[in-house]
Amino acid sequence: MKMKLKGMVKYAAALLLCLATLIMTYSVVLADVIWEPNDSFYKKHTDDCEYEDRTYIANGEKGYITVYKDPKSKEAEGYSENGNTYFVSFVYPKSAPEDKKWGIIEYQVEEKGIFTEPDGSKKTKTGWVKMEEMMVNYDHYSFYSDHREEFNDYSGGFDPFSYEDPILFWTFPGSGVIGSRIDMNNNQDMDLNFSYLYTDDEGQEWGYVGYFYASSGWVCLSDPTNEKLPVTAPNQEDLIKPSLPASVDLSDNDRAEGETPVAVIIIALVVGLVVITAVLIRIFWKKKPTASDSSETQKDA
Amino acid sequence: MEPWILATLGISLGLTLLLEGLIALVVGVRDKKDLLLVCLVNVLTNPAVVLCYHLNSAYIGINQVLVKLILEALAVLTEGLYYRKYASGIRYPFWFSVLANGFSFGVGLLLNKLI
Repeated sequence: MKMKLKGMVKYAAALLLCLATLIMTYSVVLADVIWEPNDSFYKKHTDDCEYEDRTYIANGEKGYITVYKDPKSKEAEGYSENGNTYFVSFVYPKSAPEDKKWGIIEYQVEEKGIFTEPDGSKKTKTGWVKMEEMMVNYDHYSFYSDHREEFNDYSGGFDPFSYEDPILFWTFPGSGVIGSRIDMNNNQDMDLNFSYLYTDDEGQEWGYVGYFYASSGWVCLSDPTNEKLPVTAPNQEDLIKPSLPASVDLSDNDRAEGETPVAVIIIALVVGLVVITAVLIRIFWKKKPTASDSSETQKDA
Repeated sequence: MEPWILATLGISLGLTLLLEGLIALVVGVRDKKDLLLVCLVNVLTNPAVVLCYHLNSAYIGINQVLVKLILEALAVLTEGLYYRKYASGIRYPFWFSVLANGFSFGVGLLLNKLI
């Protein structure tokens, strides 16, 4: 009786552990609504897509990037010259290495097979590009990566409510790009919280706000309302000279070839592993005697 | 299908072996042969499940949640049958299979959301 109870307690402990992980999974939610692309492939594979939320510059080896209907399609939809900037909302699949991922973009059609970045003048469409052909547009994440050793903790002292003009949220110090303008007179109930401080080469202090009513960005604490702060962002290097294909050939035979043999090899490897494992278990593990086996043994005895 | 799928299969299998081994220890499996059986049974089922999921995603396109549920159910059943047939120290083979797979599935979902 005691042994049975001990066994049940152990299984109960395992069950609790199991339930705890499942509950934790459903507790991890996104606080803000994230815009999702109206794309059939994305909708079918949402679970396998990862939020990217970064701007990239087209930088294909041939001077252009190829845009596909989806990561599985074998035909190109069109091409876009290097230098065009696209916002990549999601990448697919999650488990792939960075240079093997696909990104979903919105583009506008200039002429048949030739696409450019959206400028609001035409209707946009969604398409997928190979991330290895895209170069990240220097942004807050790039700035963070380059300067995080220079960040310090914020020790207080900045009063955003003392400014009549809106407080400017820059994408990163010296970017020249204002992400948001926050009029603190309309937001009296919430103060700005700075995650870290940065001092630039001119001695100006900047504070990073990770979240403020769905906005985030860098505030120049030394001059928070000045829209004419100098641009010191690094030049975007390594852009391959733009060009377009001589003829807009929308088939991509290189993708079709080579893919099937790889899939066959992987399937064969897994099937082989399963068969070998099953054989090993059969050879080295004895079957547990069943009730009928034991009663036959007793009869023989 | 790309060659990096092999890395995915490897990582998934490694994580599963770790997690299901942990559950086996929690419920009191101590026999070395039974613990080895837990590992081998997962080598039998996990790569096949993960591969089938990716094959569906790549070439067929049936609802991913449904496919996940069916594959996990088949894995639970297969593992339960093996534990019932070969394990000497696992008292409730199907319950163990449900717990072990539920735990590794839950942790997998959690890691996917966090990473």
